[in-house]
Amino acid sequence: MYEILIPGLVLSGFALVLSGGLLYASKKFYVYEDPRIDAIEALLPAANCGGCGLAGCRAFAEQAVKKESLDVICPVADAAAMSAVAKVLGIEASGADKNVATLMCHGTHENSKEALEYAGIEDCWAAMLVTDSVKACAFSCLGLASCVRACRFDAMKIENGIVVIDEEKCTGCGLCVPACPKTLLHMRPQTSEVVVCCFNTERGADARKVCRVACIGCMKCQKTCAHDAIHVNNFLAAIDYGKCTNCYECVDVCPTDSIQIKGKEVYVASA
Amino acid sequence: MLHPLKTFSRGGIHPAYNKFSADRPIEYGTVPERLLIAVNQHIGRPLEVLVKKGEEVTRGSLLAKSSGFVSSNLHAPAAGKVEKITRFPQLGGQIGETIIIKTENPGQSLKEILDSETPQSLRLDALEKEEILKKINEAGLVGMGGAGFPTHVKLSPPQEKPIDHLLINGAECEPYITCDHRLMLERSAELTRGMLILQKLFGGVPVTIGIEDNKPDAVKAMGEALAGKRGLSVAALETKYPQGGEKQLIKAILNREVPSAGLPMDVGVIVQNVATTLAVYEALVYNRPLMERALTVSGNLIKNPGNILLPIGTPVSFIMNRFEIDAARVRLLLSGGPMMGRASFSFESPLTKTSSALLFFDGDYVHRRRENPCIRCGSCIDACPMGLPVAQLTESIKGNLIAAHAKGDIMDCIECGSCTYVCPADRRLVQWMRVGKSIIRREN
Repeated sequence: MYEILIPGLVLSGFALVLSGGLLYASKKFYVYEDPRIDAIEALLPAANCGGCGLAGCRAFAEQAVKKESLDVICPVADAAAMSAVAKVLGIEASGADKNVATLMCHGTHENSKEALEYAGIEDCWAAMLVTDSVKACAFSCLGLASCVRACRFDAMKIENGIVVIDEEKCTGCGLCVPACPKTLLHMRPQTSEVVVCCFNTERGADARKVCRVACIGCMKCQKTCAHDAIHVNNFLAAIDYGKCTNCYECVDVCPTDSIQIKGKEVYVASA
Repeated sequence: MLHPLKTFSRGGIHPAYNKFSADRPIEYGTVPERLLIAVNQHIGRPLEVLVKKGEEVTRGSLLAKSSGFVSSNLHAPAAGKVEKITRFPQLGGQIGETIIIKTENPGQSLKEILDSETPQSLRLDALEKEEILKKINEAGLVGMGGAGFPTHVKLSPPQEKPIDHLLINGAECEPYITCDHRLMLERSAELTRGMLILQKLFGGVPVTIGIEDNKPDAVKAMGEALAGKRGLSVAALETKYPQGGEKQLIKAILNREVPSAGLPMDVGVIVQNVATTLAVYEALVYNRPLMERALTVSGNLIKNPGNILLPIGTPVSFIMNRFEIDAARVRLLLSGGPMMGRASFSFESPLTKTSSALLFFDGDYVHRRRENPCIRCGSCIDACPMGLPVAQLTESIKGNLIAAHAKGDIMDCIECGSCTYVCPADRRLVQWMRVGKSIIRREN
């Protein structure tokens, strides 16, 4: 009746020998990994968006621990998460502003008329193969949502022919910037609220002809700005965000309303 | 059939040909009030503009100079004054640099201008190869079938690629277009001389002109013109789209297959369009740069479709006046044929060296259909003259997951539009293929 014990003993013997082998291997081939890497990875948003320029959140954590610094900032994580990450590393988090994507165009259906009836593939790059513009202005947003498809955070939508960016949802990862064939998407610090919503470098009269809110290069904003923060080049105003103080003087003098205040819109979630 | 007509082996379609203007002789156009000359009408390096605002130009004066080997000169088709140089919408949808010339004698007939230019006697046997190429280069010749590739480049293959056969493309397989057909009928003697010049360039190799059999009169006229000329022959081809595709034409006439990613010269062939061959003749015999071209004006909006010779740079609106087209009724303006032509959005866009046709359609003729999901029927694969698995390739392009081994296939697409024509789900297959090509080009 003790035969039943034999297989039990044999199997236990196997288990002992094999676990001994495993124990030996784990000691022999042990690689030390900083526990802080796992700790940091757990604090990151796990979106793996690549917005920091690295392969993903794990790569970000590895680099942060290796360099013992946060010179690369996760654009997606909020300030609290980043300071928690800094705490793990034992350093102070830098107070960098959150960047948001900004559309340098306001060519809505009312402002820039449709030049043609586009019936092809609903994609900006595909449309660019057939025509330089679907609107009268050749610089304008095509409204075919290539950037919306690139956004991983549901922060963009097409409204009235142009892209509208929800700056609350935008994490500043910058994935949409190369998705725009017209190079109309730029990153700006969220605290800078003044934006020149135009990218048309044609002469004033020609720009005005194709869009109601085009920058005509009249120089009024440059003359008004007390902070040397706005300059007109090639009939197009551009803001130096390092100098802009949100005084809104340029917004008030702009005769075509192409300089606008961003970040104060109220977003209502659609039901 | 006892003697089956020559054709390419796979794919191809039979669209409605609608060659309404086949029996209309090529009219002589007149010089419009303003010529809008697009600076870059060719494939290759952009040109360097030589004229300034306010400058006087005469017929044939150089407006822009080629800036490299793969480039092509641009000349003023009529005397006048440069009004301005600006960005302007072109036929085909792009917006490009354009030289606007206010002409000196608007309304002057092209016949009058052309009759005043005298031919010089040309002795073929005394011509040097370099001299022919130099004249073609200076005249700014480009492939007039639609691609716009500089002719002198095409005619200068590298040493290691010997050419043993020249083909002249008179297939004109696109629906509606009839200008090459008319050129073959009306100017067969000059075309023959053009073929002889090209033949001379390659040391007397055989030259064959391929013509689809829906133009029996052109086959007959060219046969008569070429009779007794050594090495020159006519090949009647089956009427099937895209018979006039370069690779299809080579397969049909010579039964040679151009390798993937290869050029016709890889199989010892060079193909030239009928209009280009005539332009070669004019460049040598009249010393005339490429300044006007014959084109077909047709479409369902036109009561009297026709073929017309017009200076390059003539705006579409001028042609619409002449053919009495009501701008308000035009829903679709096509430059080129309905298969490969491009839609345009401005009636002021000017003709270029490559505009073979202008087609005007109204709302009754244009159907805007929604793109539906692929039903895996495989019609596109059967129709593809290049034998590509179109459905699979377009799906991979759509998902932005182009497999490395599929890149060659995508680049082999000739954008003929046969797949889109047959697709029962109205998928924009050619446009997807073009998206794929542009993605691959951007990566490289």
